[in-house]
Amino acid sequence: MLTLLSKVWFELWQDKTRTIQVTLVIALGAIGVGLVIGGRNLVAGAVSESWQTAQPPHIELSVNPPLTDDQLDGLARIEGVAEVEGLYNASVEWRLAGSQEWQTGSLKAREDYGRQKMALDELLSGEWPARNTLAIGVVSVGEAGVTQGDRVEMRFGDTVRTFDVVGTIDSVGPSPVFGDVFYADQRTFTRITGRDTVDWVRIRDLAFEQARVEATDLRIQDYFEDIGVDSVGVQFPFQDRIVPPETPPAAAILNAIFLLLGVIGVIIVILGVFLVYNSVSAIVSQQVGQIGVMKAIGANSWQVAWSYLVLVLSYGVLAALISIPIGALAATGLQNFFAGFLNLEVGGVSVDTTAVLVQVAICLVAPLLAALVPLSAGMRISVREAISTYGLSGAVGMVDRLAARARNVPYSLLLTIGNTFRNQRRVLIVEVALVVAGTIFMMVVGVNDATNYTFGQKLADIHNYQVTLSLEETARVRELENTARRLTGVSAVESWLVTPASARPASQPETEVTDARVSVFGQPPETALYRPELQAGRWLQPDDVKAAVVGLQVSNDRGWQVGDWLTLTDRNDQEINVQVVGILFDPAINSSVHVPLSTLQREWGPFGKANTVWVQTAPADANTQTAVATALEGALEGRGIEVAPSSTFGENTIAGIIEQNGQGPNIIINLLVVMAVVIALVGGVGLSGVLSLSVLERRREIGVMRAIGASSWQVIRLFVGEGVLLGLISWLIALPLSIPAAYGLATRGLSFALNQQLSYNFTLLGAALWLVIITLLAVLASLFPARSAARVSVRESLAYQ
Amino acid sequence: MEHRNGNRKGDYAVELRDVHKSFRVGDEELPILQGISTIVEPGEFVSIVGPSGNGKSTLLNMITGIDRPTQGEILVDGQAVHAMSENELAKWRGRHVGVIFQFFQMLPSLSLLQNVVLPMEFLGADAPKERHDRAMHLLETVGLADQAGKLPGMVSGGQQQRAAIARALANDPPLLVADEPTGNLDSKTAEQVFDIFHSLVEEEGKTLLMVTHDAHLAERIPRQIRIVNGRIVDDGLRQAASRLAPPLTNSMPNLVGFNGKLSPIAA
Repeated sequence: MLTLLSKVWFELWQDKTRTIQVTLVIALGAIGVGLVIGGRNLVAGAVSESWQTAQPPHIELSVNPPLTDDQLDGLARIEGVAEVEGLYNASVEWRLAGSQEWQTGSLKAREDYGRQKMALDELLSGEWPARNTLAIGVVSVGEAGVTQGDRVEMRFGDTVRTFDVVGTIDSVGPSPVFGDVFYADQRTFTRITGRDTVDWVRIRDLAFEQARVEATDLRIQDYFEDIGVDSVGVQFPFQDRIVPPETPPAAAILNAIFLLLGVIGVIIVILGVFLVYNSVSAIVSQQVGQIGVMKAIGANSWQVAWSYLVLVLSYGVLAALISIPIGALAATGLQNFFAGFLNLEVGGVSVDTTAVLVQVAICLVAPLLAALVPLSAGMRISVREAISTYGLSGAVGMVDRLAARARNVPYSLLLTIGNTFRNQRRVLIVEVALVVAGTIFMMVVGVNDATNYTFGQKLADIHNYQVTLSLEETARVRELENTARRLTGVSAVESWLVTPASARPASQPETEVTDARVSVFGQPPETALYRPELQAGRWLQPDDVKAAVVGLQVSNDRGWQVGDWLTLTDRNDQEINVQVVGILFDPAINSSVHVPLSTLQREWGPFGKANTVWVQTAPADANTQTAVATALEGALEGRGIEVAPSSTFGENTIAGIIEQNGQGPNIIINLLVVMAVVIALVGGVGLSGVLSLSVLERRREIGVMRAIGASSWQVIRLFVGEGVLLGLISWLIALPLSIPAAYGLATRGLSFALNQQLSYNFTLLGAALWLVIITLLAVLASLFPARSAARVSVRESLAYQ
Repeated sequence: MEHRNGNRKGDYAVELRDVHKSFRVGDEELPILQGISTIVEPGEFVSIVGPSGNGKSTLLNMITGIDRPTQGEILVDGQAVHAMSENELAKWRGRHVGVIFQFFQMLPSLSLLQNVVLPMEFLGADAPKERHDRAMHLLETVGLADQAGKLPGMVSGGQQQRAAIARALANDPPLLVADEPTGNLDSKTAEQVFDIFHSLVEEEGKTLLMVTHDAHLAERIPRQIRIVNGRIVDDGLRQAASRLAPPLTNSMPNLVGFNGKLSPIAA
């Protein structure tokens, strides 16, 4: 059938617009899927490979109080513990020598950098930290602006020391880095912090086997209980104790993100298949006369269908040629994106074989499957029907009949409406594509709004203060508050006790390592600086003694309800029994328990003292916040009250807290936006394709219109009107669908991924944005076909053949 | 009954036996052909005439298998066309019938040469080179050898129709069917086409059925079948014996060349 190959080539080359449109819808779907599969496999591969290289621990714990060498040795003697490594961590304040502003950071240390056992660090340049020298974490080099060779001042407590930065260090495996990180040797660490005990332990068995390691962990818990040490898992992001070697950090979050992206990718492919169906259906419809002629001169159905299948396959091959390299680049980009987040080194463009194979299958197989239905329908048309095509189509649908009854409506508008719904199946398919595109886009914007709202306005509403400082030791409430009130810009101040604790049902006789880890806030019941959103029950009242209000996330996780009694245990094993009187939502913290300040002072002491200060400023702008925070810190330090490097929520100002909390969701939302853009492009190309086909099919109709006086502008307006009408209808349908979709994604999907409950708040932003986008998209998509329609000459369009 | 070419009874080129055809329009059955019975001998040149909308083209479609009768039998070269499946009909048409349409129906994306080659490819006979050579010869015989590489959109209506005739001859079918072949042509071109038809009948022995509104042309065709209201009012059998219309011009070259076999014969 060599001659028909010429026909295929002619169709591809002569109608380049259609070739581009069909190729694009296939390619976009393949790119979407290739991006997700390739990105996931590349990220998973890189993460897994580097994780194994890093010699990950099997159990990783934060311990309190820190362990002595003897206690560490005792840990090493536990059955199932083949290796133990202790690490030193502390929060510090630092600044470049000669600069004014102190910044918070972390100081880490190992006993011997030359004989690391687990979760290895590597020296990228310079030297390992030694006596009175430091190294800088590679992430901090870019973000903090500190490089090897600089001198830094480090403050811990009221002591400031100066050190040279002699090297740059990075962790071997994937590990997210938060904040500025410095490395010291053990002696230097002790010199800075005054502590020579480890607060972080890593443990490995000879080989990992889940049940065996769990049994070892139980023995470790028993040992810790014997020596009065509390331990908690630290694996990011869910604080797991046990770390299966094949499960790198953040694996659960990555899987959740890629699952979500994968669903969107599959949707894009399905839409692409439907649009290919549309295009092939239109090609067959347009060429039904040719099909009839071929049958009249001796072709059987298979011989005719073969040429169209080759045409579709050609579109697929072109799409594969486009999508495979773009998909590889996009997957590499995604890999680099996550590598940055996970502090992972990757290099160059990588190609994932699975992704390539899937893309090839999508490009070649999916369009063929999509083409089978319209082709088989086309082959069933009788020769007589096929070749008796001249004159204008007489098909009249319901919309035309309704339009015919309309009064006082411009006929051009009626014509636009009737034309739009002429081929209902085709319109349905492109509308589905546009509705899905619009729903996903508005859903993504809605989720973005939800995160901005949760970590912005809602957080600020609940946390009705602008500055907060934490103290190294408790101090007298009156002294704290009086010191603060004397400062310019302070309009209100409170002092609270905030302390870590474990919480268990009161019916549970003893603490278990699996008890909930909470932060207990001792607050005045009548506080004006904290206005939580209550989900159940009530807030604290002035006459409450043993009442508590608990956070929503921890109460959901643990099944606590209003009326339940809990036992809170602090680090000193002091216990309080409290009754849950309310459940609150606070986006800044998901595991808090709030009790009256007086109760906490009385039970855990010391009475009349607090360890945190909360200040309202006037005005409340960011500059005032920073100025008051600095002044307050200075004032307190001046009175011998040591301020901790970081506050309860990390940053000292509400502006900083809001910014810090918003970083996590942005990563996911950026990815969703990329997918939303791809799907919008699919919708736009599909719409353009439908309108182009519409122009081709209605050439004679256009010729007749022009013969009876329609100007070019009037013809253009007709087709642009069709495109905009289709776009607007899709917007109307997508809008109500996007609201529950955004609600579900924000409050379920993203909340799980971030391990943080999000609060949904509907805004019109997504709807307005998509309305503008779809209108522009519709105009652009229809402009080319419309101009093509306007250029059709009367003679050409009405000529027979 | 003895026929002009001496064939025995039953060896007709076309035989129609009580053929009926009706179309459903809404709730009504619209009769188009009502009890058509006639025969066409091999080598006859027959025009089918009558008022518009009276069933002439429908009758032609019955004979080529493009449409099916509601009732009756249609035999072409002894084969029951009405009983074949669609795929059987397509293959049969490729070998036994050459169809020439009023609107030419050339495939716009193939050159004139490729349009002529196409039926040979569908039939699957001969090697590609032989198909190419035969197609070129056919185009030569209709005076289009120098236009062989052009797309249909680049040549005139008359040239397209001549190319369509060449395509209809691609597999050397015994029967040619033309539905208003000159309806879209100027008079001079129409004459040229008619002369080709005449040569095909007289020199190649083809059987040719032609629907036409052109009374001038119809008069020059030896036999007319007149259809009015779906019935044959005159099957022209008596006329056929007495009439033989000479060509008005000798402007077209004599048809020589392939006799349907692989090797060419000398001019």
